[in-house]
Amino acid sequence: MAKEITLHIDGQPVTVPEGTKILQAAESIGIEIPRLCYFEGLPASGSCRLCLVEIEGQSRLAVSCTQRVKEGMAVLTASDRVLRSRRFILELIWSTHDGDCTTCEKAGACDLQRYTYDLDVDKEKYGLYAPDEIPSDLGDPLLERNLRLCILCGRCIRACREKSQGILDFMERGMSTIVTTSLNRPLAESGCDFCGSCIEVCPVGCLVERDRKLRGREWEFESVETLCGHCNLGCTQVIDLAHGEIVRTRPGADGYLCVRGKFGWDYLSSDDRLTAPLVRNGDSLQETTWAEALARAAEGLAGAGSVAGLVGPNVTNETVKAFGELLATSFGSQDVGFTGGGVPFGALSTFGGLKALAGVGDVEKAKKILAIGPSLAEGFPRARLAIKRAVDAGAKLIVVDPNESELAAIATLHLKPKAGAEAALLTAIGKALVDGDLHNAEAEGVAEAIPAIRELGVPDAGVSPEAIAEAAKLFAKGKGVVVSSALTCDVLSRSAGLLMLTGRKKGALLPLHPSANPWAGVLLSAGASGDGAKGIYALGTDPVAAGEPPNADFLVVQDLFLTKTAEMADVVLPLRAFAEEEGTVVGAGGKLIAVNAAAPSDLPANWQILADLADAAGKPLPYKSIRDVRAAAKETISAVKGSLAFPSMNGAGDSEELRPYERFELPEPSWVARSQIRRGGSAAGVSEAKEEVAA
Amino acid sequence: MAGVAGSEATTISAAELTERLAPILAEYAGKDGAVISLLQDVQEEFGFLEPSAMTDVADALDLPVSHLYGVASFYSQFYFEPRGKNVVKVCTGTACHIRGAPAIQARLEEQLGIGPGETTADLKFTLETVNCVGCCALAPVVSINDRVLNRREQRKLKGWIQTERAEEPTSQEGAS
Amino acid sequence: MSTATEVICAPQQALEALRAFAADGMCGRCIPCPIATRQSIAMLERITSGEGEAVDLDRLTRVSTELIDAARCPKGEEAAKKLGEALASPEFARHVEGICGSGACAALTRYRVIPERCTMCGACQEACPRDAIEGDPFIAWRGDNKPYVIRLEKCDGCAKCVAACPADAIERVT
Repeated sequence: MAKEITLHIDGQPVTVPEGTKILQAAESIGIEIPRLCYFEGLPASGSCRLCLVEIEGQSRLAVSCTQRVKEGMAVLTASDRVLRSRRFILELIWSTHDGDCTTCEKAGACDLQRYTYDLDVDKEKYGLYAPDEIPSDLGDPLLERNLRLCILCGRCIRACREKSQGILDFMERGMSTIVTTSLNRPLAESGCDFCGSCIEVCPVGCLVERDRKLRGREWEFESVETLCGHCNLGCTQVIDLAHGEIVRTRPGADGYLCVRGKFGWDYLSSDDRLTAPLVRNGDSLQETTWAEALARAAEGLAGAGSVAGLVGPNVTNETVKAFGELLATSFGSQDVGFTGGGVPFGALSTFGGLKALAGVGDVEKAKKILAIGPSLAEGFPRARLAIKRAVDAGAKLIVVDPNESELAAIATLHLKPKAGAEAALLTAIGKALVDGDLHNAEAEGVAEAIPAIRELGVPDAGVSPEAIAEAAKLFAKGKGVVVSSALTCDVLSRSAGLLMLTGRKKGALLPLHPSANPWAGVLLSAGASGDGAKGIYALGTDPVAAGEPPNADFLVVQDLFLTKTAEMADVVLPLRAFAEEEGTVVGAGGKLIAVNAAAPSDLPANWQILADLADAAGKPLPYKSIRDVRAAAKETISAVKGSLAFPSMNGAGDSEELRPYERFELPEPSWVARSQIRRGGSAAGVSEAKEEVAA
Repeated sequence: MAGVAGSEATTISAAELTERLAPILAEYAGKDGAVISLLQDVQEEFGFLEPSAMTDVADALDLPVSHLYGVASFYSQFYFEPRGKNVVKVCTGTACHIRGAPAIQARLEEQLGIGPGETTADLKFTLETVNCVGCCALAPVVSINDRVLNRREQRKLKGWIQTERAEEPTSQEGAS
Repeated sequence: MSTATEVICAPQQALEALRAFAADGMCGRCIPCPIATRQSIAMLERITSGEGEAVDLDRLTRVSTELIDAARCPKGEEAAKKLGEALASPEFARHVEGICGSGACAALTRYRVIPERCTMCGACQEACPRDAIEGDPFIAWRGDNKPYVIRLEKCDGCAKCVAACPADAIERVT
């Protein structure tokens, strides 16, 4: 328990733990000390000098964001001397801040504007001195940097260092100081990954999203909080809307979005979005009414004989549940497949079930991290941040990747298996755990599995036995997680095996998938083959793009865009995108996490479309509202329990024919080609697991 | 951004860069607070802060490259572009100013085709103006690579520049 | 160049001190100091070139007192204190009124005829390129000969009249 300190701030007593800064102590009793460079969560620099306070008995003013409280301190946050100093600094800032509140995008949310008003500061006191050479737009894509508004607080520098690539710093000196990249190169040439963390912390209008400009005033925005749907890490995403249209997204309380969450929402309003149902008429597809399309679909599927369903990982639980129910109730089919783009979700069910699923919080608190797979940091920046934070806090990191990488550079141990031998390496580590008696013998299910593991031959993964033994020793104890962008059955099941051997069953396994809801497959009863089905209904999935074109007499496709599969269909139905849907997803620990309909849509909710189709087929679903669907989904999920069968640790199921990263490649989501972050901005946030593996 | 324009692709091969950088990195390995000394050594070796070298140094020190540039751009002693073989400095202090320094500067700018702080494309000349160098009796003062020219040399400066220009292209060498 | 002679006045001294601070000692890594320095230099440049206003003196005084608290390090504090000490000189107010008494600021150097010494020879009037000198030559039989007068608003301090005067009757305005 930290020692408690009692002090007085503006005459009020306050008790806080030792080590608390004066500014934070004041905040805890509702006193806001003005500040421009201090930002909660970033290291304090004490450079703006706005937070200076008077301390009784001290001749010099104190920097309240860096100075710690002392027992018996008496602090004045708004004495005459302090206010004079504050006004002086604000006057000075206005003399270099070449902006006009009238048209500035930050108006209404600007700290400089607010303090100027609160303290009644004379903006014109020192006149404006802003040399013409200072650029008003450095010309980067996605966000504008207007250095004529920069007040040199340095928050963006610290945010970039803490959360992202650290590409900004103070350059030059004295009166020529500016905040920019090395050699003032464009962001895209400086390693920027366009996460927008800098924009979040800028107190003034220097950093602005280009799409946000001229779209409305801050006080006009309506904000809806939801989860970003671009990968399964589920960062909180706040969507700002003006006049019913998306203008901007921001991180939520967890404070981070990658380029996809921050700038990858423009596809929602792409002209290519399907907005009305289509039915086939000879060679072409023609727009029609919902009634007509649903009738045709119902008739076609019912008449096809055997029906199969395919649903993708970018829809809510409610959509998946309703879909499975539709196939079962209205078309008598249990053959519904969850296509995660080749991800074997079955691997999860062999170990602890959904409780084993970890989230970023588990990674950040972990003491031992095993990170497997290509482009982990580049493809999943939030995972990168979580691992970095854990390592900074003392966690040990083992990286399994034939290539050098950003994570490999900070790893305690970097294992480089031969191309395609990741799974074999995991087996070898498992065997080393057992041989070295490092496993947790009391853990559930372990004792029975040991004899078989001892019998396993040590596969040649191209890594020395010493390194393997070291990895086993390192990973054996302590709160541990496995994070993997290598999503094949063999890698996942052996990762699960390692976790089980070391007694880690909850919040321990984090497969990374570029989709919103990859675990929703547990809502469907049996795996589908679709083989022999004459009628196929594909929802939110594009089998043609995945290289497995459906072979059916009657095809219904429901998706965001007219995909290759949709072009083949008999009936095409529009799909509400993940950001447009209210519902739940399966998150860490198997918990249901709510998402909100944050983006506007004229379409009915997806579950409703499915219910209407059931009605058209004459066999309605047992749901009257989305709450009913949710309840049903919840029930199904809680019934899913992991089996205690030990996951397979040997070579069964291995396929080493494909080049290693081809095995991990997933078909590109249909929105990527239609988003600015692919066309004109940085593609940094989109996983490209096509690296050449070092021979 | 004045003074930190940066250079284009270097003429040094990656292998040569690593080789020349290795002894410098080895000397400072594990030493704390050695950034400035290290950068000085890099500049001495390459004549300026070669961009690829900066990346390698950043990796070796486990610091962001931006931090290195922040430190380097803070001090006027560091250059971010290759410097000419001959650094020509014209003093613009009071005594030199009165004795015709502006005219000398203008003639040099015209002949070399560059302004103060710039380097000719063939990397043979860098032109700079400096404050008083302390030999006002010799005003107006022009120096080449920090050696003050005498009267005769000054009179023959134009010819000398022409001769230098006509010679074979120079390879990039360390600042002398 | 604002230095007409080797002489320096208090405002120029303050300006040089701040320029030296800006070029060398000022790091620019806190918000108030670099802005205050730049604005102060701008104000002192105005003051020493004849464009200073009374409000500039108020602003400079404010900088010299407030920057002591606001600056992040002793260097900024020192610069502020030195400025404050310099501002104590009455020369600043005089500069705002348009006169640099020591002749250091060419734009603010003005000359005046010392009435008792003027012999009304007219040499100064002939020498003046600005037509700034009023007066008539000495006429022996007249009783109302008046000394020549230099109009301050037309004088630009070129000092040609000083060189021309045979009677040492022209001095700098202080």
